[in-house]
Amino acid sequence: MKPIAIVHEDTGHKNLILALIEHLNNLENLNVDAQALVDFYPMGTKSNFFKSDRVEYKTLKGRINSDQIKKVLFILDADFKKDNAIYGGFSNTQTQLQQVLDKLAIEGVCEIFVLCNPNSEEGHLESLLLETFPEGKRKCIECFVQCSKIKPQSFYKTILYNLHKTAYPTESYYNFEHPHFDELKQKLRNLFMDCHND
Amino acid sequence: MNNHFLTEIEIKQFKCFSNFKAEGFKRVNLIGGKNNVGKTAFMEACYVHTRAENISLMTTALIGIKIDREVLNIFYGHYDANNQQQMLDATRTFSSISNIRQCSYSVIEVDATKTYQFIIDANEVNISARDFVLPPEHPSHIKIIDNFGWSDGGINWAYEAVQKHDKEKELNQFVHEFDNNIEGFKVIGHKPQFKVNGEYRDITEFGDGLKHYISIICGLYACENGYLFIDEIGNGIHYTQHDRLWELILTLSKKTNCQVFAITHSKEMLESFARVAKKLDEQDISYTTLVKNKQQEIKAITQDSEMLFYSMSQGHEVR
Repeated sequence: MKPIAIVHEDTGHKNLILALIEHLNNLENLNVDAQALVDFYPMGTKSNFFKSDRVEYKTLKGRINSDQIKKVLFILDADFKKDNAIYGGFSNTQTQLQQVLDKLAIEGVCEIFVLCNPNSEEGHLESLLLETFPEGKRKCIECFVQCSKIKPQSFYKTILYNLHKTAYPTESYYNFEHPHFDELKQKLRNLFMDCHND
Repeated sequence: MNNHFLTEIEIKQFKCFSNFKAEGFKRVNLIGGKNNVGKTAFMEACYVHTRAENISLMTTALIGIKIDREVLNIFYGHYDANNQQQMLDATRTFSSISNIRQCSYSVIEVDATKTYQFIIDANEVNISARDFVLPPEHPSHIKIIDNFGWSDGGINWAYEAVQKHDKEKELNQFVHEFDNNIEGFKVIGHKPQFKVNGEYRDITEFGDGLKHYISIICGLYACENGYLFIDEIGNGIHYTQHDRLWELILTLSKKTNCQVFAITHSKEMLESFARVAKKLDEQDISYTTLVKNKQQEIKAITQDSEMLFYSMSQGHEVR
């Protein structure tokens, strides 16, 4: 069995992690074969993270209790407090998920990374990415959203990737050199630290 | 009706196991794990445990598992199969608890006096080795099929159950599906034989896969309301036959109310198990992986149908 599990919402999150692992492999010689070491557990939606009877958790628990999975990274969106007073926002998301992990008694091997705009502590993957774009690029996109009168939240979540690909075809979607990625990078380094040679 | 099914077991002391626990067993259970982790020993423990209805059956089970392991040594004269007490003494201690009973066996030697101690539920019996009379093998609804299927005697015995169920026609159909050159199966003069080109030929003229296959099918009829333990279920059986084999196991075990435990190393066999169970919407299954934890203790990870289907759909490594 693979020693690392990454529990995430959807393909967007998985793509981010895979791209960041590749970045660390190239720049820091992290030397990680994600395919050999990691099983991904897509949860589909954020609300599923807070249901402790989910099949994903039952599966994880058996493998963790027998020392087959050594470390787990949870990655999910913060979303917005105004949309959900209990689960919305960075702090609520972190606290509520931690309670689920405590209830499952698997907290000892788990790390959590909540995706959001680090300044407002709200939002999702795209909010983080937008904050890491160079200022000129970010302003252009924000102006476009303003002019088009599309609701910013739904816009970013659904079509930021396609807009970026069309407007900046030669530029990377992920600006991993930005300090906003430092925490996630460190979490990935920790995740693979003792699992390289197993 | 299926109150006899083993749903959980603690193996306190037996071979590589001490304080081992596994739970979540269903009607059909597949067991996996790396080499030398204790899969066959686990199956033997379950076999002895389920047979421990009384001292006689428990004793013959303990002797039987030793004989199965020593077949080659017996053949070359290193072991005397007739010296059954020697076979029994090979297991010094056995202790287990489950949802159906608790039982233990141990050989106690004090001042050069040997005693066999049996405890089945609340009944403790101590028998001096000098007074110990080994019981004859009893026909039973609890059987092990080893890597290559049963001997002629085992197949003949199990075929009687097929005849009692009036299922000879179905059995012929099953072996024809396995190999379309085979027209039928019969036991003639105590010899299992397959009909090819209108002529019956001895089972030894055919491959081990066919012997394993027919042992499993006959075993499912013979172990009605009992248990069938199958070691290395995929041995000799081509992967194109796996789905059909699981279809038969899943449907016949339900009809005969037989609990099945099977061992495999094969990824193809595991995938086939999950695929067929899903196709048949069969939820009375489990897949258990035996692993060693950081302290090198053997642990069981048991997945029910929901967990197994999920793991397979995500492409997770589960063996």
